[in-house]
Amino acid sequence: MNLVEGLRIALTALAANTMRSVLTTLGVVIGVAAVIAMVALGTGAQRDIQANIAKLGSNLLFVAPGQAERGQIWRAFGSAETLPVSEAMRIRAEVPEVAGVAPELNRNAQVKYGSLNGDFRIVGTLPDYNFVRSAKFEQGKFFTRLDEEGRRRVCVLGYAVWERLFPNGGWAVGKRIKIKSIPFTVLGVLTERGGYGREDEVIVMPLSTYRQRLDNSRYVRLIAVTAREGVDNAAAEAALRKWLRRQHRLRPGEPDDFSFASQQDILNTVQESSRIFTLLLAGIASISLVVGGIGIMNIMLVTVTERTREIGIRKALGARRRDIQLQFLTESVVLSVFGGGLGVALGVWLANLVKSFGLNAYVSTSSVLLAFGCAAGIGIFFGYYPASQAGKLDPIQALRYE
Amino acid sequence: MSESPVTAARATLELRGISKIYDTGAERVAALGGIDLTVQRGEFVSVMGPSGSGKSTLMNILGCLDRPTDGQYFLDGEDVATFEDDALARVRNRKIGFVFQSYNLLPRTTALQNVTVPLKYAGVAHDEQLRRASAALALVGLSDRAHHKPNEMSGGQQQRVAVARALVNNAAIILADEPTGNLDTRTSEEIMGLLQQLNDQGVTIAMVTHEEDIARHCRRIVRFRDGHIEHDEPVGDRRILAPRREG
Ligand SMILES: Nc1ncnc2c1ncn2[C@@H]1O[C@H](COP(=O)(O)OP(=O)(O)O)[C@@H](O)[C@H]1O
Ligand SMILES: [Mg+2]
Repeated sequence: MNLVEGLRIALTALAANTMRSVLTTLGVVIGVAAVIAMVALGTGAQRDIQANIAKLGSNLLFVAPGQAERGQIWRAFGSAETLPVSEAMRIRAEVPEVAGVAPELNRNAQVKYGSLNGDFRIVGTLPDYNFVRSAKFEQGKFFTRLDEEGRRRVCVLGYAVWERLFPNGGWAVGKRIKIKSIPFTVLGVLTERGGYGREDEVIVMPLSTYRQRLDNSRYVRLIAVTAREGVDNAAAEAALRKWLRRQHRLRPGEPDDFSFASQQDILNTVQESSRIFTLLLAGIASISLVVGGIGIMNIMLVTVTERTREIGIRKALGARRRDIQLQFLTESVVLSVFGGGLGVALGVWLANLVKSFGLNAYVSTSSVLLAFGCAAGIGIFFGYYPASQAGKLDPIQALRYE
Repeated sequence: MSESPVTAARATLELRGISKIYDTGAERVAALGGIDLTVQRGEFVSVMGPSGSGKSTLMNILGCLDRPTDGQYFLDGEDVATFEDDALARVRNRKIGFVFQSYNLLPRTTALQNVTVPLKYAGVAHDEQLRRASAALALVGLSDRAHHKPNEMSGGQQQRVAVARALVNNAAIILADEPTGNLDTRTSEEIMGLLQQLNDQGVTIAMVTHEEDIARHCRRIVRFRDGHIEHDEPVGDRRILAPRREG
């Protein structure tokens, strides 16, 4: 008996019990749909993050105090006091490979505007921040060297801060807000960065103002620098490292007491964690796929028992053990593949539904193929035992079965 | 008793010292106690005997559905008692057609589809399956019921479908265990007429029956008692039925 014949028999048998067949596949349908939708969600989030990070600019380098493994720099932020403000201020003049330098000090503070208030991260930095971080403005502009030199009480609002303090999208430039009860004039509002790291919940002000008014710390938490035009990241990093090591009087062989991270490192870390997140989602979803497979096995066992007499008849008419096995295996695979097909459709539909709610979801071909392949594999795996039970039946006993 | 190469030319079925013992744990039942039986090509044998005398056990062994506990069974000269399961399945498919008391058609499956089943396991192409199944249904006079399902047919019609299925793969032997057991007299005669017709065309037939009237349609009667052959004689006053052709 060939495969086409087996398929014909399987389809006839399944059609004879349409409702049960459909209900049996439901588990696989839901499993496959869940895997596809979950992976789409995970992949969408991953792409969002990539896009957001790419927006920050590609020639950006970060230096943080203290030792940290490459890519783990976020954990080290602010943890050590090895990068004095005065040193950061000299980088631009003494390291020619570097074009812009934006050291950052930060702390949280209570912010008020009228009756509205909130707790936000306040960043003190230099005017270079504007181009080092490729800032874009919703309203107004960044502060200047004059503001820095004059220690003026001016600030730039992150998008989320603006939304919070000016809930009706009001004009903020020129308005006075209070940070720790000290009045500041708003110079501008940054556009939305979105995504990772709560980049929008920030208020940026001149470093000098920050140190005088909020926190007279002598050490920076982070320095963001950009390589000069025509100098690649690695060269800029090497030059800056050499310069910093000399400033810190580190002997050859002694480890750095600061760490670097490039945009790419951050991208890698974030991608790694979102990849794990995606796998986790897929893992949870595939549990339902396995449950669906068990459902198929259950029904196939029932089917084999119900059709014991049919098996006896077929054996009497010349079916070999493997013909019967193939017949029932084909049935379970047809069930699971059919369920897989429906599941793919449902999964894609769900992903689109999620998209229409504003979340990013991306259905990749590989996730569709994987889920569909798993469904077929589950049909074989969970159909094998019932099928081999069917094949083993003794023809006489099977014929006598009532 | 001659050696098998010689008998192979003459005999279709040959049993030598066949015994079948059922060991249920509690007791050992000797369903067949060392049977010698030869059925020549083209014979039409009726097996009779009281209930429990071993008739069905014999038919199952003849049909390669079951293996004897001891003894040799030559089918066309081959000792099939030594065959593997798959080889036995092949023998059932190519040489033997079964007709059961309870018809044993596949439910929810049309007459035509039922008749194609042996052809599927013989690897016959789909179109050819339908052609031969239609021809077999025509032979039993059921062309107009080809697309009816078993529950839409009378017992006699179902049994004729079963006969069509038994002969569709050109079986040389038809084994029938009480084929008329569930049928009334008129329908029983229909089936017997059909079997006579097939036998006239050279098909070897062995059937079990309880009724002397039915057995009289055959050429030879083998009587069983307690797993042994008690009598084995040709039918003296054989009843010949004119072949019926109807729908
Ligand atoms: N599967 C079985 N297990 C145990 N005993 C059996 C089995 N099949 C038949 N028998 C016994 O073998 C004997 C012959 O049975 P069977 O061939 O069915 O008789 P008949 O068909 O002549 O009525 C009976 O005593 C029956 O109880
Ligand atoms: Mg019996």
